[in-house]
Amino acid sequence: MIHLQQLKKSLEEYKVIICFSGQFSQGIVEQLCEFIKEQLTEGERNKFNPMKVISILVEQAQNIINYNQENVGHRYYEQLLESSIVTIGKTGDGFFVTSGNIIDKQNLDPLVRRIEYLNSLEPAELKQYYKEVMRSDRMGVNGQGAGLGLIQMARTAKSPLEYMNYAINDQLTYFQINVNC
Amino acid sequence: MERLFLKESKSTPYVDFDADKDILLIKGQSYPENAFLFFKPLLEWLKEYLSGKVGQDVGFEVTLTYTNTSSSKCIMMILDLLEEAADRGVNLNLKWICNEQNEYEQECAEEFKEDYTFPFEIVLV
Repeated sequence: MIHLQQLKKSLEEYKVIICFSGQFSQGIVEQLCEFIKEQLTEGERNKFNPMKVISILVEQAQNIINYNQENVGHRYYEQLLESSIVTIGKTGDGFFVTSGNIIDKQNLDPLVRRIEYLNSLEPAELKQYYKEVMRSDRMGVNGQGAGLGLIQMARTAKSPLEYMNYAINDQLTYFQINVNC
Repeated sequence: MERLFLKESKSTPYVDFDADKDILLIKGQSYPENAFLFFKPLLEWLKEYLSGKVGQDVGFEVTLTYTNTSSSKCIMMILDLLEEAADRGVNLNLKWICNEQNEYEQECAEEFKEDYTFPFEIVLV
């Protein structure tokens, strides 16, 4: 039987207040947003804007949903779908939003380069880059915002975007991204 | 033109484009799975409506507590249409209503405003 106290303890150690593990959907994202609004106490809401947490969560989750939609027919599609997890927790002076999912190894380097590039930009440069990408005509058929999500995360974050990956097999790797706000 | 009216949902705003009164409203939050699909009919409606409004007054009122990035892109496309219309002589007046307690909302509004020259007023309530 699952040792729930252990699981709960781990969540508490990492100061996780909300966690969802499993296949993401728009409905789940909406529920999580409602939860965040409820979970932040009155005092916290005065100090931290829940919209920052919500913004990061929505962009992370929708990126994962979009990634999986682009990979319908992938050899490991079912695994990709089930692999997603998002956690929202407290840091010393704010919140973190960390999400993870399985990606194809071929997507890893471009993603890492993109994050490193964003981390190298100053706030004013990030803003300009955000506007440039928003103006560029790369709105995909699925209505995706041309990679704006990551830029928005970098803009909302109060420290550089953090990431990690763990190889699963020759083709897959588990990728996670953390944003502090 | 037929009035475009959409009820608010958890992830899409309330929309009321009333061609008879020349008042257009968007109110709520926007983070649907597919923003382009949601905004396409709005953009099409506006394009047609604004083409017949040269020399006339049109009021646009926006309250957006949160938009995801793809919705922001669509809002930009709406503002581009308004700018074009204003350039052609439509007397446009945009009021962007923000919660005075909410800096995040105000920053979003300010950032949109920077890129346009038509009357774009940020109102704090």
